[in-house]
Amino acid sequence: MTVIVEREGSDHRAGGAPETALRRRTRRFRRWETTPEKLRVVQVVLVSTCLLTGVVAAAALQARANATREIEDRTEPLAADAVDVYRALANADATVATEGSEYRRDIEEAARDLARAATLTARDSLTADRISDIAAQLPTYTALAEGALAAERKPDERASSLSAASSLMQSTILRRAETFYRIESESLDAQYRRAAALPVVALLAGAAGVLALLGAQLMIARRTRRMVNLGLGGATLAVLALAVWWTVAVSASGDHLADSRRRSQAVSDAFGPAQIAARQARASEILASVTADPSLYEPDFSARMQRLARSNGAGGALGAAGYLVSDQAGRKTVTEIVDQARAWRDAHDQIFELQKAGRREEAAAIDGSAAAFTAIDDALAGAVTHERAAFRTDVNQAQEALAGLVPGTVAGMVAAAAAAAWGIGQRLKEYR
Amino acid sequence: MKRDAPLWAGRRAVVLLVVVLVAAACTSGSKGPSTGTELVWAIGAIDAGRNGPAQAVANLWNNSHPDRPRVRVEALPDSADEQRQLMAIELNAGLPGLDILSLDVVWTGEFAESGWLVDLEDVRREIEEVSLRAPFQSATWKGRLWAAPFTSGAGILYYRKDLVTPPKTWVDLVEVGLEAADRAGIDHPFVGQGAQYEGMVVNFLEYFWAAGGEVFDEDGREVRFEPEAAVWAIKFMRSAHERGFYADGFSSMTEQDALEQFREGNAVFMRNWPYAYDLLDEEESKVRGRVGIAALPVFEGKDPASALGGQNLAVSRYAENVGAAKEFVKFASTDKRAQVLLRELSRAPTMASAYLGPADDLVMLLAGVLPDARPRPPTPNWASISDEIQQQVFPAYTGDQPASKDAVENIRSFLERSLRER
Repeated sequence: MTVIVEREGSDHRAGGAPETALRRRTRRFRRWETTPEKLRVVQVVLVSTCLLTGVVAAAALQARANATREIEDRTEPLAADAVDVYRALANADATVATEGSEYRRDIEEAARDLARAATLTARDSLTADRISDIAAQLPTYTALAEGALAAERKPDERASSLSAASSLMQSTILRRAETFYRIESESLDAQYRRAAALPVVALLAGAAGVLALLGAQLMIARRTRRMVNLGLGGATLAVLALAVWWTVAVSASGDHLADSRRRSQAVSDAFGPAQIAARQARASEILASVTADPSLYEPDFSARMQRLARSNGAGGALGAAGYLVSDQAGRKTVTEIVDQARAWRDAHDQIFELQKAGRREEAAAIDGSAAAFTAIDDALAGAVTHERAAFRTDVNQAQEALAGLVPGTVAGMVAAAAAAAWGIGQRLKEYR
Repeated sequence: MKRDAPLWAGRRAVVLLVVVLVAAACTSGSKGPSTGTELVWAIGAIDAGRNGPAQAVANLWNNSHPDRPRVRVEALPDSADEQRQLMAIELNAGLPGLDILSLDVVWTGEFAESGWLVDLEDVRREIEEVSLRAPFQSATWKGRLWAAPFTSGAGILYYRKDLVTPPKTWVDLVEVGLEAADRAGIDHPFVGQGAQYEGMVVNFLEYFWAAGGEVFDEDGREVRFEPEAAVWAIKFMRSAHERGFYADGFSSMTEQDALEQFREGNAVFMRNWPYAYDLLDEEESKVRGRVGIAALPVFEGKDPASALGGQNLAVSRYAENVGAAKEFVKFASTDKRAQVLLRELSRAPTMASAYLGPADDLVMLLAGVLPDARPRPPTPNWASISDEIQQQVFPAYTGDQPASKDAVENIRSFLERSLRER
C-alpha cells in the first residue's frame, strides 16, 4: 500500500551535461538518506515544541489563576480592611467628643480589622509596619480618651485630654492608616495588572507550535506525494481547538475580572473615600459646634465636602462612584447620596451663619446636618456591602471561566505531541 | 487584515489565532476624537480667587483666543494635600471633569507614573527654550515632559527691616531674632512652617540641605540621607523650639498662619514663599513698608539651600479636548504677557525672560535664589516618604521623642525600603 514515489525535481537542464553514474548516486543518496534524518529531527522538534508550549501555556494560566485567587483571598480584603480601619478610627475621634464611651466600639472595630489585616500581610512589609504602628498607638489613644471621660466633672482636664487624644489620632494614627490604605489600593491595582496581563510568552509559544506543525506538513507534502498527514493534521487541529478554548475562556474570564475590578475600585477608590470624607466633614462640624470660633473648622469642612461631592457630585468621591458603579441600582444610590450631600451643605450653611451670629441655641436646634449625614453614612455602607458581594460573584466567575483549562492545555498539547510523533513515525516507516 | 490576500490556509490560521488572542486580551478601548467647548482648570482656591493668578491668566487666554475653547477656573481646597487627594480620587476613577491640573512640583512623578497625564513631548522644545532650568526639570519624569512650568518659587527670608539687618547664618539668626524680639517687645522671633505636614518637611529639608545633606543620590537609586546632616538639622530645630526662637504655636503653623502672624507685626523673621510679599504690602498689612527680604541663611562654611516650590500645569489623560488643553498650558508657560502677569501678582514666573527689565526687590532676589533652588527628590512615592519624615521629625523636634539619632535611622530604613518595594 505504501508506494513511495519520489517527486523528481526539474533537473533536466536544457543542454546540461549528462549525469555521471557517480553524481546520480550521490544525488540519490543525499535525497534518500537525508529525508528520514530530517524527518527524525522534525519529529523531535515538533514533540518538544508541543510539550514546551503546553508547559509554558499552563504556567501562564496558572499564574493568572493564582493572581486572581490572590485578589479574592488577600488583596481585595486588605484594601477593604484599610478603608474600614481608617473609617473606624476617624469615627472614634468624632464619637468620643460627642457620645463618650460609644467610641470604644469604633476602636474595637478598628482593632479587629487590624488583626485581620495583619494575618493577610507579609511580615516585614511596609504594610505590616503600618499595621503594627497603628495597633501600638491605640492603647495610648484609649488611655487619653478614657482620661477625658473620667474627668467629666473637670472641664479643663477633660478638654486637654480630649485635645491630646484628638491630636494623636489626627496627626499620627490616621496618617498611618492613610498610608496603609494607599499602599493597599496601589497593590490591588498592581495585582489586577498581573492577573489581566497578556500571556505573551504563551501566545508566542502557541504560534510557534502551529507554525512548526504547518511547516512540517509542507515539508512532507513537498517531499512525498502525501498531501495530508493524519498525525500532523490532528496535532494542528488539537492546538487550534485549544486556542479557541483559550480565547473564549480567557476573554470571558478577563471580562469578569474587569467587572470585579470595577467593583473593588468602586469600594476602595470611591465609596470608601466617600465614607471617610463624610465622617471627617461631620467631625469638623461637630468640633465647630463645641468651640468658641466655629470658623476655624470651616475650611476643613468645605475641603472635605468637596472631596465628598465636588460640584454637586460631578466630581469628588461621589463623582467617582457614579462613574464606577456599573448597575442601575448603584447609580440610583449615588444620585440619592448626592442629593443628601446637597441638603447637608444647605443645613450646614444655615447652622454656620447662626453660629457666627452667636445664636448657638438656634443653631443647635437645626438637625438637618445630622440627619443628612446619617442618611449618607447608611447609604454608603449599603453601597459598599452591595459592591463587595458583586465583586465576589464576578471574581468567582472569572475563576470558573478558566476551570479545566490548565489540565486541558496540558492534555491537549501532550495529545498534539503524540499525534505529531505518530504522524511522522508513519512516514519514517516507509523508509525502512 | 486583507481578506483576499493569497494566504496559505495554515498561516492565516496562525495570524487569526494571534489576532484573536491579542484582541481578547486587550480590554481597554481607545477614545475617539472629542470636541470640548470649555476647558476646566483645577487649582487651589488662593490661586483661583478673583485676584489670583489663575483667573488673570485664564482671562488673558479667553480674550486673546476667541476661537479656542474657553478656560474656566475651578477652585479646589486651599490645602495642597486636599487638592492632591481630590484629584487622585477623580483621576483614579477616570473621571473626565478636570482638564488642566495644577500640580505641586513634587507631584510630577506620582501623577505621571499613575498614568493620569498626557505627556507634552510634542511641545517640549518651545517650553524648554524659554523656561528656567529647575522648574522645567521639576515637570519632567523619566526623561519626558509631563507638565508645563507655570509658577516657581523658593523659600526666602522675610524680616522686619525697621528692627534688624539679617545675619548670614542660621546660628546668628537665632541670636539676632531672640534679641530683637526681646528689645522690640514682639511675641515671635521667627515664624515658619512647623505643623506636621508637607510644609514642615520643606523647612526640615532646607536645614538638612544647608548642612550638606542629600536624600537620594543623583539618579535616585541609592539612599544618601547622611545621618550627620539629618541629626544636625533636627537638633537645630529642637534647640530653636526649646529656646523660643520658634514662635509659640510654631508646631501647628502653616504658611498661612505664619503669614498672618508676620502681617500683624508679631514676628521678626519669617520663612515663607514669594507670594507673601504682595500680601505684606497691602493696605491692611500692619508691617507695610517695613518688610525686607533676603535669601535664607546658611550654616557656617556650607552652601545656601532653598526648597524649590511652585506649580506646573498638566493635561489630564481624561481631558475631553487634549489638543486645546495642551495649547493652553503651553500658553500659560511660554506667553510673555501671561508670565509677566504672574510677576505682578508676586508669583515667581518660570519663564526666564520674565525676569528681564525693571525689577523690584522680589524679582531681583528670586533671580538670584531660583537658579540654585533645591527640588525635593523626584519620586512617585513622595507622599509616603514625606509622611514618614513628618512622623519622625515632628515629635523629635517638639518633644525629644524619638531621639534625633533614632528618628534619622527610622527615616533611613524607610527610604531604603521604599526604594526596594517600588
